[in-house]
Amino acid sequence: MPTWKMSRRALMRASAAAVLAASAAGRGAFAATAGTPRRGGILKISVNARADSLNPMKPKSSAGHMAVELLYSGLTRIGTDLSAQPDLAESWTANDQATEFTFRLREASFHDGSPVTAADVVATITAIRDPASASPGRTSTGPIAAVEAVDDRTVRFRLDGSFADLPVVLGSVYTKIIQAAALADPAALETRPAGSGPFLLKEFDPGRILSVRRNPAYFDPERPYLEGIDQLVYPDATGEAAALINGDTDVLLEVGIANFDRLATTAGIVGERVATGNFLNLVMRVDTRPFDDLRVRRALAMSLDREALVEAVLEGYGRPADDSIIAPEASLYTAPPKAVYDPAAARQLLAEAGYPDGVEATLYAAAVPPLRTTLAVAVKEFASQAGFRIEVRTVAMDEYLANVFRKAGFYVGSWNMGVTQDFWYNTLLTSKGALADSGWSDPRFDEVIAAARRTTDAAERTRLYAEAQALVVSNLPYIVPFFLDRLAARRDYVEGLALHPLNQPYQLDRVWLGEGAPARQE
Amino acid sequence: MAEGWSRLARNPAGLTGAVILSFLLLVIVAGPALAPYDPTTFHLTRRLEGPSLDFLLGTDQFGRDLLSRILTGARPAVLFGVGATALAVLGGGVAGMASGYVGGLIDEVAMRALDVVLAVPGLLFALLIVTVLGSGSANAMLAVAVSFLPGFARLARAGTLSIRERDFVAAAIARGEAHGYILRREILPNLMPPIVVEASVRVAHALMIGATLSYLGLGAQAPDSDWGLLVAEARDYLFRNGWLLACPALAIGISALGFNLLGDGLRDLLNPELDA
Amino acid sequence: MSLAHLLRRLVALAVILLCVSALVFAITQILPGNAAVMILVQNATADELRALEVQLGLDRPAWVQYGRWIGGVLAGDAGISMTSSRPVLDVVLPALGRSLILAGITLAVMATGAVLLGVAAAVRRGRLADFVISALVYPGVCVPEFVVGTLLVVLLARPELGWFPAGGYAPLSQGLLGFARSIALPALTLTIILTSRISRQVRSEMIDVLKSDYVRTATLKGLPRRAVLFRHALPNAMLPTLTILALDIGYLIGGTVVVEEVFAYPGLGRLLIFSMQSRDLPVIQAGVLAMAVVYVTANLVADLLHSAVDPRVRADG
Repeated sequence: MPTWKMSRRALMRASAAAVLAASAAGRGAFAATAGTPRRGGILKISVNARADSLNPMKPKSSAGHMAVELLYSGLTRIGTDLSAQPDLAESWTANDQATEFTFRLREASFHDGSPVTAADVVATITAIRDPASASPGRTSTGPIAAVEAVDDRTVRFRLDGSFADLPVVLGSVYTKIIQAAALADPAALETRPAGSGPFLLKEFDPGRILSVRRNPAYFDPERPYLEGIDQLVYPDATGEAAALINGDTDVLLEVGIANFDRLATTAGIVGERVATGNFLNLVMRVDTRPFDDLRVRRALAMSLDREALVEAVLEGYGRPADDSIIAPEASLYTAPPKAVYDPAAARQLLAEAGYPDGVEATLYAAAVPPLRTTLAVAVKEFASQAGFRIEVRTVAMDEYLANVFRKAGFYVGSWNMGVTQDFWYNTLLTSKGALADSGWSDPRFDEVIAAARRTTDAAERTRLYAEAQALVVSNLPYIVPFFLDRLAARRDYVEGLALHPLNQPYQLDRVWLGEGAPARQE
Repeated sequence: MAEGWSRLARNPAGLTGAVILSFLLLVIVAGPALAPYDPTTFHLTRRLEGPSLDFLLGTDQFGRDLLSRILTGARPAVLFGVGATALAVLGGGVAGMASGYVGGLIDEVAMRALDVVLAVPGLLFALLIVTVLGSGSANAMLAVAVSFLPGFARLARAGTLSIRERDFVAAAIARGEAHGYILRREILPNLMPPIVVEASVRVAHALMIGATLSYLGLGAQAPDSDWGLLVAEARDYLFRNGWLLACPALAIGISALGFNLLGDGLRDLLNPELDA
Repeated sequence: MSLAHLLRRLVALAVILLCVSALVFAITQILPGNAAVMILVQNATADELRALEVQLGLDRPAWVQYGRWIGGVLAGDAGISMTSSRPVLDVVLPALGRSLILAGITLAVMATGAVLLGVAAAVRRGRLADFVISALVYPGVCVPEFVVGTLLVVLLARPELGWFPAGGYAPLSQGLLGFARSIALPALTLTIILTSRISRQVRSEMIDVLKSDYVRTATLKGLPRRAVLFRHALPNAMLPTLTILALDIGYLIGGTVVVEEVFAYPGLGRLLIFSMQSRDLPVIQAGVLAMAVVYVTANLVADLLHSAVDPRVRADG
């Protein structure tokens, strides 16, 4: 049985998380950083995987997402408060039913000097919506029926149904605007960008370096502050950390939990941490024994000490999640009731469900990210005190996708934070959800999610999402033990780095090099 | 038999190997009972600690007792090495003997087929097989066995070919003995010494490949306490608790050393008989 | 070795490689998921999946896929990597080049070291030096590459020391020092492991040679010991040593795979492990085939060298 007492370190972290949450409530679009931005300098940033493709429409590694964000602009951007902010679109309007949106484009030009026009937007959105593109943007952009150019600088979206979140989801990395002429040759887009972003491509050697330089013709006269960014690939975490310590790099954007304390206490290095809505969930299929019985699902939920799980699995770098997939960072958020930890009551519930001697279950976890297995091992250990005899089985990713995901009765899922509440609710939990994987469905839930799409009234939508959340939490298709923190580290002279609760954007156009930065020349 | 033991006693390498392996056998049999803690129990307030009186070798990232994990990990690790080798000896030995004894076209085809398999380096072949079969100890063991098989087949075939030419086999054939009898009673006993020597060295090798596969995430899976897996998990905590790396690495090394030394000893011991 | 014999060997080699290609292709057909699943990861709907499968040709019968593939390989086109969307050979060949650099450096250092240690131990057989060398070398036979590599990282690549990077690769074009630092630890790991294996074999070969008649004769003729060793014994020990080296190229290739993974060295081994994890079939197929080509070619070269330094030829001269 696990012994657990909140350590002093965990307490310190818990209060740090509270501070984070508090600042999150009051934060604006820009992170407040001391000093005035300075122009110039090359930022060296390390990533752990190669930027595999520069085509905005294709799914890719986080390094690829970063590259696309540097080279392309979208209609909108998603602010750190998850609201839509102007990018190529300087303003937009919607009708009352949220079925028609009109975007007004600013004057901007692609990297080859030609202007960004409504025709480019129409061509890009049409290409994304083509099933052959297999773009993740296709499923996440909502019920778009038609896109048309009203004039050179005005685009109108007509929707099949209501979708109030359209301006937000159009800020995603998959909906960056591509020059219409370049769409004819998707293979070329892999390595030759056709965007209007803040940086121009200088060098791309996949697996080693992606190098970009400031776009002098960028529509914002202020940004970017940096003269250029070199994205360097360090496949090995130890090597990546060493590079930051030695000063070979300036920013490490994805620090592993195990390395964070050590890095953050190194002289000249500042640890950065932000709460996100990324979560792992224990999927309990409600049509498979023993989890077809709500009492068994509740027993498992009650057998898990969430604080202890955060400490054991995340070394404290996260927050308990109380079984809702929606994090406090989401807009229109209402807090769910606190998850109860009571192993004795859990054992009692199991007995009532017909398992007085406990129950066996096989918990599947894909091998990546490794956190899935770590969580599974910890759940096995914690749940044993309530009578669950869990066998953990780690499987390769392809086997997971082929035989476990949406099929097995009990497994660990892993998802990044959704841009909107609608996204994961609609995808994972509605009856017709594209990735519905728990077997749970409820007509009332479907109705509520649809109703929240129809209105643009924030108070009404908040109420609807609270009802949806209550339905999920009381029926427990998932146990959501925690939300993860994002950990990064930078040299102390790197200013303006604002970590986002979403995996993208990185907002590197807002970063500058302050006092003490090494002078790097070409 | 007694004479064999006394000769082993006079062979320092073999003796050391035998001593190490006896100790290992003790750990395999009694390891889980000797373990001071349940190897999967968390002690969350005592994570990543160095050796102490409570935890003789320290604790891992969940506060699990490293000594207990190593003691319980001995059985799967050694069984992996012995199992993979045994499968390869059985499969390869039978195939090689049969091929060498029958000879002719079948032998020719079998040997060419082996050439094809041998053109893929052993570890790579094992990786390929375990990728197809899926990760896990049993699959990894099968993969190592398959990658060892051609080596034993060649050894058995070469041995069979040379033994076949000897007078006592010719005499048996002349007596009209059945092929099965000749293979079992005349050829097999003479084939055993080189195979036993090779096998004992191979066990060490298999044990190391097993650990390597676990390290690459293809063999044993968490929460097992397989030695290779322990090293793989320790990698994240290299600079926070070096014991996590050093202790299982030492366990792998000592076990492999035992089988290697035994192999050396057996080689010295059995060679005279082979020459005779 | 006659020209006809060489040609025969080359034809046999080609046939074996063709069989290897079929074997590898067949094995990879059994994988549970396919590349389309892996590319779209978990955000895919069934329609998107099928569209991509058709696009990748995964809906065709296996033998059609094999025929297309091997035809392409022979024409210098091994398809498109599914994870990086780039031509497979553009991915595999640079990685192979980097692996060959690592293996070549290892082979050179290791062969020298192993021969010197083996000869020294053999000459001093049974004495302190022999014992010390054996004791130093023996652990290398008993510890897997990943353990040695990881230990070297802890000891020599601590970030605080800044001596060596813990992983990665700096191409020679960016300066000799960076290149040397990045390749030092992987090469050292492989060298330690292989030197252990091979020096022991060289030792026992050398002991046999030292017992042989012509060395005894040379000694009895009153030649200086150094001359006996280096003019008579060593050349004769070279031949079996060469055979041993050739046999161990398989270990070197396997070891390279592991060491590249430990040090995040962007060679063919690491590429293959990554491709196996992401089920990038075209890269797996081409990569394994490339390694088989290197392996059988190395064995052939060793055979050719073998006949070139045959002692029966040298003994007369």
